[in-house]
Amino acid sequence: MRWSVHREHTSQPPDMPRSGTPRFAPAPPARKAPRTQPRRPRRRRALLITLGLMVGFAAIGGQLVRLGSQGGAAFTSARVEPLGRMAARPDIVDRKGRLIATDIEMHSLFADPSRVPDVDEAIEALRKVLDDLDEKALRKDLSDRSRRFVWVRRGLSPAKAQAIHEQGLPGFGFRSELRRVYPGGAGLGAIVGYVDIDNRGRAGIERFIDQQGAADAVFAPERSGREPVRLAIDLSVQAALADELQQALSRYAAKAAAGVVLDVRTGEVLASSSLPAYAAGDAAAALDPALTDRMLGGTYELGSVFKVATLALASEAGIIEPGRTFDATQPITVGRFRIDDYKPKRRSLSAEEVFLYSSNLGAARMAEEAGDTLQRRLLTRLGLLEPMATEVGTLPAPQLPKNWGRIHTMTVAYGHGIALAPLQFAAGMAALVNGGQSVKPHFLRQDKAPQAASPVIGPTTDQLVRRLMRLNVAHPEGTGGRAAVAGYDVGGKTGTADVPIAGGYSKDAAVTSFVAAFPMRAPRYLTYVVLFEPRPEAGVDRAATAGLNAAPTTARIIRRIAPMLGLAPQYDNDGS
Amino acid sequence: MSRWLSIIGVGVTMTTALTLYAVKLDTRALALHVASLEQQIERTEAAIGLLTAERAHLARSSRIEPLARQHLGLQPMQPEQLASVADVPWREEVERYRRQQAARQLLSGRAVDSGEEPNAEVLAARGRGAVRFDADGNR
Repeated sequence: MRWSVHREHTSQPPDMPRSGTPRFAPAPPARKAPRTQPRRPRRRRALLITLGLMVGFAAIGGQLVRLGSQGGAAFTSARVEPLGRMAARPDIVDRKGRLIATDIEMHSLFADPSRVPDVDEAIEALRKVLDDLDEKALRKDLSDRSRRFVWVRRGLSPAKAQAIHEQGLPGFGFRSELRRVYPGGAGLGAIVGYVDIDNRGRAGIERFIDQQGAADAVFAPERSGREPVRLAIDLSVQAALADELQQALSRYAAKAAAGVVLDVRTGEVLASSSLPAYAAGDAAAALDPALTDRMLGGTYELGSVFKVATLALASEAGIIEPGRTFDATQPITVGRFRIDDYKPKRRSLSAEEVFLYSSNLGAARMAEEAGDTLQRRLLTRLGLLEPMATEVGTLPAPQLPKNWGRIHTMTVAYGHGIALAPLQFAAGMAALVNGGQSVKPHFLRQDKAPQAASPVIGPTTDQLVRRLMRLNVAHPEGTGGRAAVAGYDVGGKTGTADVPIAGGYSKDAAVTSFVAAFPMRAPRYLTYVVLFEPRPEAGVDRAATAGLNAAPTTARIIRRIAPMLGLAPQYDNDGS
Repeated sequence: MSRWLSIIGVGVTMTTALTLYAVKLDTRALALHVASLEQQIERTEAAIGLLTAERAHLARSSRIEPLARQHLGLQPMQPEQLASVADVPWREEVERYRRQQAARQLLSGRAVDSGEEPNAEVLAARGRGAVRFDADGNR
């Protein structure tokens, strides 16, 4: 019988057909074929084998159908290029998502001189694409046949690289590299920082990104897949602030100008500018001491703006009562120090008057009466006495009196004998107008409001500070009258500090500043503007005090930024 | 019977083998396709990155502001220019005018954006048969 041979094979294990070759060896034994009784066991065995084979084939068929319908597993290709480690960095965007920094893939053209057949022809071809080609240098490089690698041009745009590629030059090749570019980084050098040649963050937010481990080492130039880093900065507000400061710089012929806009509840820095400024990514400028960012990078004696804190101190100490006055009849002399007012009234002043006339004597008396312990406790809780850490690095440490004696209590009351980074001061002031919640300046957007802690100041103090700051702008005798902006309920305090020079203070160089918050009923934003060595506005003013330069600059800034910040003007009662 | 089974078996085996081979070929083609797509994605992403950077560069305030001042005669917004809708005095008249316009559009057979069906009167006035409008006002 024909099948007998194959029958012999059926004694093989039933999984034989799985071995792959589509041999027709294990023939399905027929059910009917062997009819005789003695063959019955064989027949049953054959039947079993047949069944087994069918199951096997069914399994294979089923698997095929499954593969066919579902498609294979994800395919990934890896391309390794002989490149050093570089970092793919997440984009940096402003609080509204506008691009500040990004990685782009740049192509760099190199040549292997030993494989360039015709140097002249190659240069001729390159010149068609690169019109600023240094032919001499390139000819020299390419003629040196002993060299195997010379850079022709680094950082080519894709269009130019394509054009060169199409020339089909033998001996030339491209490598692509990641480059950090800062399309929206104008004037943000001190905040955004810069990266090194390997795309590693070295300063500012860029360094912060590396510290957070968000810069990924890559071998091929690929863009980071991470979410963009969202700054608290609003580029529109930033541009308006920088523009107004620039105008102030020329209007008052100041040496430098700095300004900041803070959200008083979260401490977010919506804009921070210091002129002269430099662009993000400019490492050389960042290291130039003449361009130090004065908002974040230097400490200054800020003067009478500190009287806001002194007022809060006196209120917390419970020494401000109706009818209570502070002696400002004559200068105070302690050791070799002499304290006097800028425009002495020579009489006792109420707390309101001390604030509105910006009386040093009155402030000194308040602080003295409140005591240095309470003073230091309040200033510490406002965050003014310790180095302040931010995302862009720790601010320069405050310069404090070594032994905090009676005289220091008095001078600190009006902002002398203590030097701070203006940003740190601004953050401290935010706590005095936001209901007493101490805040830290944040350069990254905060999506959640900070948790409410026990307030630094009580409700009475909160109301008093806001009322007097508002009065200082609204009242005809206040020093901040020029900071008024109709509809925005601006309140603030001036500060004119003489610049310390060897052996005392300069008579004609000053740092003038104005700290303001708006709207004063329930402050949302705080601005702090500092002008360095301003002069009287030509043909308008005779003096150069803060009320004449920093205050009107603040008003101009608020006029521009308040609508951007979504605040509608509210005109009521006194039309302001 | 066994013969038939054998023939079917051979058929199944060969079909399986062919299918398997076809799948293998397909897989290879798909892998190539995937690789080329991935390359294309990479290139497109790089191009998007570049264009985004370029766009941000072109949209920077220091460029837009002088352009807006010079060519459009614009200047920074002043608080006095802000008003709420409630402050606009002739709001009701605007509303009435808008309603008239809508009615006129209906009568002229133009689209209405509300998605409402023009009523029988309007259709009769138009002198045409019933025409259905979809939400965009297209017939």
